[in-house]
Amino acid sequence: MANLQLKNVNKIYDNKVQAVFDFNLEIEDKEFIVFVGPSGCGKSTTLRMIAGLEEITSGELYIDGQKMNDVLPKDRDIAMVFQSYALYPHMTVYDNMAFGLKLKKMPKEEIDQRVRHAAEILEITPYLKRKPKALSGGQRQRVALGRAIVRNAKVFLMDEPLSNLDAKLRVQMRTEIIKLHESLGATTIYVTHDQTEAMTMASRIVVMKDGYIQQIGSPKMIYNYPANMFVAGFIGSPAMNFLNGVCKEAGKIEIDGRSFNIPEMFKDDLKPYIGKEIVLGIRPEDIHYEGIVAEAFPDTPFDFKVEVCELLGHEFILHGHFGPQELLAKVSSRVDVKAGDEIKLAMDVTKLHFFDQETGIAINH
Amino acid sequence: MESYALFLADHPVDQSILETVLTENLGAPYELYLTEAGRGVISSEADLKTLFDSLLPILSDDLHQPLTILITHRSDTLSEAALNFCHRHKKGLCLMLAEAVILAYLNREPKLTTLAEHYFDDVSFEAMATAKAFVSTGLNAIRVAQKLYLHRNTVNYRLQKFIEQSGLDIRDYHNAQLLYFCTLIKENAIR
Repeated sequence: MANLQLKNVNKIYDNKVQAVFDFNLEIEDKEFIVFVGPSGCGKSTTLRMIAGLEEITSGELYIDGQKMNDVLPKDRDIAMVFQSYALYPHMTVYDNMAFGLKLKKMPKEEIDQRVRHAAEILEITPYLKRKPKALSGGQRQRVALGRAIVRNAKVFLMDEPLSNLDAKLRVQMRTEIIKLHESLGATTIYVTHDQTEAMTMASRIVVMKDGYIQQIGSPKMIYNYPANMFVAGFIGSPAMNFLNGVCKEAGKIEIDGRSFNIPEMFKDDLKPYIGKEIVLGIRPEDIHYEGIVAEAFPDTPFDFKVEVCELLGHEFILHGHFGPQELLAKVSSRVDVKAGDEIKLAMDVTKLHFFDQETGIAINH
Repeated sequence: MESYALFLADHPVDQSILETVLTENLGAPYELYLTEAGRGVISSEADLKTLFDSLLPILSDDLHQPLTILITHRSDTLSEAALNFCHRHKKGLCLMLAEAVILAYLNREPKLTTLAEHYFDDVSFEAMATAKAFVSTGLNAIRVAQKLYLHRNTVNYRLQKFIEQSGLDIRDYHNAQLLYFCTLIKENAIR
């Protein structure tokens, strides 16, 4: 297994378009790192540079301390799993998994042992004699994973492997990939545009946008302490609410004529912003029915007209406005609410986030 | 109808891997030429586009490098230029020659656009007019005959002349697209 280092890695194409800017990351042995971000953010390009499928324009890549920039892809000891879970259509599952090993002239007995071991881990032993057309999407993706596992590679690279699966299967395969990682203990780099996959699977997340790293951290850290508005809005579903306001004095925020007292814990961070406009962030799940938080934060309840009410089973997502600004709240479905109702909600002000209006950078963490 | 898959990779391609994959999956006779390290051509009567659309990701994985493939009616200067263009801008993908030509035009790539503009310069006027009419009528020889006030046999004769002179059988949809795009480029050339 392996650790990786990417030092000041840049990718510039022939047409002068720069896809990745100054990428720096150290990955420990056995980590499950997830690169997450919207389409075109540079996450797949970075993965492909690690694999050797794209040239690194500048910067260095090290695997186990060895510089890899000029090492051919086949010599990097890396296994890759793709979104398309491509398989050879006229070969059986067994032959698909064994093919790469046969090309390396590995002895038959060793090939058989590796294929059967991987099939057992992936629970596809009953399908070894089938051809891909006789498999479901999830089974094909497991065979694609099997092709990677049999290589006993130092590093696994996965490029949106679940994107082509339906929602239910994605949830199931997510769990299987996590279990697979735990049993193999392989250093894994996983690319996805789905923040739920990132949050549930990663030991650390790298959030990317427009070729730049926005933040690196554990899922909990990224969720609770987003570095900027992009990370705050991208991670978490439904997305964080952003409200434009003014920092009136230390300890007081005004939003659309409504004043809030801010807990002591934020006052020092907000001192440089007194008299300035800032952006206040609050996650939908940190907005509650009045009764829950009003005693702790008596000046926070506000009137809220429910414009749309989405039932998720145990929760509602309520759509409405705070003044003229859109607001979503996630509340318990134990209280009966419907569209058109006028209710009182309150914010848990200890869970507020503050952002510089010009730069979008987080103020209070 | 025979077609050609020109391919290009950054590093030498293992011939035995390609041969094994083609033998197992093509289901038809083929010929494989590796012209130089990382470059070669496969010819076959089989549907090479459909084959490589499905196989290319896994083949590139087993070759440990992206392979760029251009499907064409023959290996010539235009096709080679298109392959080089695709490898620079669409590395690891399988494209038809017609697709490469229109992409080059849209991206103002001068060499390939110029080659496409003059690709049918050696075809006679009558054969060219008939071929253009054939494409514009949706590959319908009867409609061409009506449009050009010709007998159907004359239309077929002139289409056959076009095929002989250009090497492009436009009775195939993708080949017809190539003629269509080259004609568009020539008629809209910016001077």
